[in-house]
Amino acid sequence: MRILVIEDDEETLDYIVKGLSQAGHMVETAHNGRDGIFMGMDGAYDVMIIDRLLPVIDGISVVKTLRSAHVASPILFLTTMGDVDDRVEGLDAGGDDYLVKPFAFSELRARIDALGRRAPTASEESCLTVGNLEMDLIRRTVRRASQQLDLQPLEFRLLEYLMRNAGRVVTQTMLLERVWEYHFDPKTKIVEANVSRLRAKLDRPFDEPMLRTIRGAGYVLDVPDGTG
Amino acid sequence: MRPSFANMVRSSAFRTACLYSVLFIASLVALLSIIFSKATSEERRDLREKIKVETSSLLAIHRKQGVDALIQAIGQRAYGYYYYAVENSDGKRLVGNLGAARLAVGWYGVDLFADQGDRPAGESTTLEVRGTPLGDGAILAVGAIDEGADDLREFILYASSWVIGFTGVFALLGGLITYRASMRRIDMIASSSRDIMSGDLTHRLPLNGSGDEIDRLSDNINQMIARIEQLMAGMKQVTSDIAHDLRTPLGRLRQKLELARDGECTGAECKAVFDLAISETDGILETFDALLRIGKIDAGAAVRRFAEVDLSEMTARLGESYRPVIEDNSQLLKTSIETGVRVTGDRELLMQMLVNLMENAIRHCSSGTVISLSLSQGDKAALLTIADNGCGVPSEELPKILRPFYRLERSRSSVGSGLGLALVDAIARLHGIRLDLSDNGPGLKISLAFSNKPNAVLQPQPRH
Repeated sequence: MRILVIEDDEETLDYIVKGLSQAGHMVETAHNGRDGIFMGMDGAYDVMIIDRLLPVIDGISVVKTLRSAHVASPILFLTTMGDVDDRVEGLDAGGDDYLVKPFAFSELRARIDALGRRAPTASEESCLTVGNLEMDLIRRTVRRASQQLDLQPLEFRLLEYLMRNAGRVVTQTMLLERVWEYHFDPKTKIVEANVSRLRAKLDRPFDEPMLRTIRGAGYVLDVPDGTG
Repeated sequence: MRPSFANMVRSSAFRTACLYSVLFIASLVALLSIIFSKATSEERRDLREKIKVETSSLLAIHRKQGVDALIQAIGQRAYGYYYYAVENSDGKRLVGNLGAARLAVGWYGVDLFADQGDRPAGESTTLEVRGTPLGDGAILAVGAIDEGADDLREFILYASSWVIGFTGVFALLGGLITYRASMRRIDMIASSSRDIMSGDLTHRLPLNGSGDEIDRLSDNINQMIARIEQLMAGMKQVTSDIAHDLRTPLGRLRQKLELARDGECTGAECKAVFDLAISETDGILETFDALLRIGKIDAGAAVRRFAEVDLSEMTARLGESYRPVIEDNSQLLKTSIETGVRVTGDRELLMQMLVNLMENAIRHCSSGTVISLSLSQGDKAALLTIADNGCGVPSEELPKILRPFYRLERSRSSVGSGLGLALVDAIARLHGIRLDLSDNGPGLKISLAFSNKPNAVLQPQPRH
């Protein structure tokens, strides 16, 4: 993917550029808001990573300017400003995701993957399909290989998010934010415990496991070959 | 402030005294003027009555015996109480001692010595005169000295000047005394507040026990200082707690980094050491994060985001989310959640509060414990309870467990920032929720009574 990073701190920038390049992305950088707007307007990036506290023009204004110029690239705020108000302000300005520093690199990578390969209008359909797994969003039923799975409401929401991001690593934090709406880190293994319940219903009765744990990163709902 | 004349004149006590004396003098002058005008009009009426009687007796003589008899009669009467004059139609004075001025018809005043410099000292020389036509163009004038008017006027002028003089002097003296008295107290307060500003927060402003406005103000300021002292003490406590609490993980982090640097580990071992170092760092960051959150909550800005929250749904989801965790811990969750319970608050903060309470129960209870989560709508408030039948908290420690970094002796070694319940306490205070900790016999029971009144919710509660 072609990624623009707007960040004024050299060390953070190095860390991001090195990591994303290793992951096979093409990374371009800007050190202040003005250059960021200039580059963002010009190139068609798959994802933009923008700090909030930038010299010359701040991150919020950069995003507002780009959005008002109809730049549609997904934008991830990467910032130390982690308060609820800050996050709401960032998303209102036109950001698509909000990650608070300090962060684990695997977290950043997973979020960029989720943003960059997001299906254009994925929220409208009434049915999700991954391999032989089918989810009916209106009747709230799930079938795998034509066999009905009996899921609790929370397990349903968890599986829905995994299916929407099928084939991509989804981190624990992403699940907490999107499925539980927890913007803080619980001390207990709430994600593991619930994923293992889901896995018991989703995978145990079948030969081929779909829900994989990536150690130290998160989970992936595998897309079988030939589909998705 | 040094006592000086300029300072005194600027002081509000002195200015008030001056203002009052000016008002007092003005009202005195007004009173005297009213008395004066009342008294003179009485005098004048009497005088005019006498002049009218004298005039009619002379007119009677003129009617019966003619002008010559009138002139003769005036000649006999002159040099008594009255003054007379008669002029013919040409303005020629026929008789009289009424000064030189021309006569007129009606009432008027005449100054007897208007043309002369040597007026008799201390005596009134103003005449009240009535001119009456005699029919053929001649005029008869009868006058008398208006003694009372002049005497009274003089007396009033005399009295007024004394009154004004005395009042002025007393006002100055009064102003000076009030100024001195209030300055003494204000100086005392100023010197006390300088002591307080220089850092001695145990100092208080002096009260004189009179309960007057300065006393009440000082008392309020004292209460404010007491609150500041309390907050400062709390802050110092928290600061040293943070320092203490972070020493341990930072020490462990340092050990691990040293171990890795000295190359005493290889390959996978090294990775494990780094993983541990990263998780120590995450723990430290988490502590800071929790502190920042508590600070933000205490600042009260979240009140702006308050909206109606479906507490029933939130509690049900909490139970649903944590049931697997609790079962994995070989504990049991019992829920009793009434539907449709709504409260006013910040969704995210309330969620965090419930999560912290739930995790507190899970982490501090051994396996086999039953955790019960219940929500009901009472008459006055929604009541949420999280209780367990675990090992509980000694009753003397119950109030302390909400303090930042407070840990029971037996859980000192367990993970956690020691800020979970402090965060719960801060969120509860922001929402006006009454937080009750009690012995569940055995175990710990935490009850939250949500206020039904959104207005009460908007007032952040003082720390208990």
